[in-house]
Amino acid sequence: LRPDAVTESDQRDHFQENAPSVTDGLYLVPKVIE
Amino acid sequence: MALYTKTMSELTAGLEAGEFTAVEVTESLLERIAAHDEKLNALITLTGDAAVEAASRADADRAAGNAGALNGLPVIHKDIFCTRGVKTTCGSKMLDNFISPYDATIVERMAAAGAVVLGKANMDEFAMGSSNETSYFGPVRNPWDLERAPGGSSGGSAASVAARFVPAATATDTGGSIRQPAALTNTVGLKPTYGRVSRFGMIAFASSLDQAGIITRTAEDAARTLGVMAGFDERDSTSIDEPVPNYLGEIGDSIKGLRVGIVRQHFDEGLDADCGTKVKESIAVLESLGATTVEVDLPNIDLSVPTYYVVAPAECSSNLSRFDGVRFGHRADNADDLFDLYCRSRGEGFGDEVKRRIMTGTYVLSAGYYDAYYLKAQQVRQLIADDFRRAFADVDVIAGPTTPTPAFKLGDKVDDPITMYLNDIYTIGANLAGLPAISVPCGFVNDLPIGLHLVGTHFAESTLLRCAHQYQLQTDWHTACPEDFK
Repeated sequence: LRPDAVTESDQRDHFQENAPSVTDGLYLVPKVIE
Repeated sequence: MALYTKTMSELTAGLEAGEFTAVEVTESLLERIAAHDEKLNALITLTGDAAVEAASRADADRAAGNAGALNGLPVIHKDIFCTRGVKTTCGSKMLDNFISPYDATIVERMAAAGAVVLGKANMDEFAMGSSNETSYFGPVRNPWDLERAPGGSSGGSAASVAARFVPAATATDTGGSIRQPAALTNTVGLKPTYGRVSRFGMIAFASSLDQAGIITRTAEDAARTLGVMAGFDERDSTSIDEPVPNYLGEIGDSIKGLRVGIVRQHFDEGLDADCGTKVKESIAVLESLGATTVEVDLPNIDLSVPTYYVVAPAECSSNLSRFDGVRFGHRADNADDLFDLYCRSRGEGFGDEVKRRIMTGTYVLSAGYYDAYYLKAQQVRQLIADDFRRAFADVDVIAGPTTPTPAFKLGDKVDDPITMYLNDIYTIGANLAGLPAISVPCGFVNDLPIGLHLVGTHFAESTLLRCAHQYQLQTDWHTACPEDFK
């Protein structure tokens, strides 16, 4: 087994640079529930 | 001898001898691209500044005695490979605004070996096409005749190498997308074994068929590059942990005694007669080098195109569902609700051929049809793979034409998908069976280049490269340069 260690770093802001619409780290979409 | 005419091996020798620097090579090729690409449309993005920086790092590495296998060698990546901080479009409006946040494994490995990336090559949208006409950025033109298609989907990669923009360009092959454009542009195209080269960071089309490879002018350069690209990658679950042979070191070995299989079905109707003659002449050259030929039978090979056009669209319909306009890629303006956002973003972002394949794939996977189409296609695929397995009991490589005809005119087949799909009739079998294959320039028909197609057993890239290299030592087809690009 591999060591139980965290291998991924937090890159949320970096990955969300391509998102069409983001606020506070969340992806924005049109309203789903009326 | 001008720098642009040189192969990777010749550039490496010159860099080692101090005849020129990587920066000089990079700058001269960038000038060449700027002067000529208007005619070809082979590139979507140029990365000139980053290239000069990478070249100067390569020169510093060489001065410090740390030259990697691709030190200072200019390359172009097909725009299907993610390149950190650089636009990665996959030939689609859907990704016209996508700046990749990370590098594909092969991009990383080639950079670590010292390669200098000059830009990103045009391609059929999401690699779906055989003529480069489905690209959102317009068709690539064939350097041998600007009215004709360079093949596809890796048409930009093939045209760039044929026009001497770079000695090597990366490419991908799902049904022939490396080998077919290589054949139509007088270049060498190598599709490795499924699992030989990592696909991490390569935008997926049909995951059970896709494989990354390389287009060059010589088998020797393909061997050099494959040595860097190949190898296990824990980030790709289909990557196979097999040792990487010394391709470049083994290329000089003789092919005496090599058993070459000739597929009876590949010389039937459908093949242009002059192409058939040229391919037979090239097989005679292999015989003169000590190879023996045996006729082999692939009884189910005729089913490869219909099988492929069930399996590939099915997988594409699933893979391309990720493009929804939410996290990245094209988003439609002023959507009424989430469903409208999905429908319009996808409707606006994808071109006609991509939509055709998504719809075909969704249909063959739909409830009640799965057993009749997708499951049946997978069973036929197994029969085709078994045919190859039986044939390889008696032979080491299988030889034949890469394409049924030389390059066709732009616009000739784009409205007739079935005729277009038949362009890959000789190449698709290798994808269905996961086998490595290479196309090597083997002559001209009506002043247009064609290719000799060699297929090997799993992980027999070294045999294919050796066979292609020995053939190129005896012939000079690959040294011919298109008139407009001399």
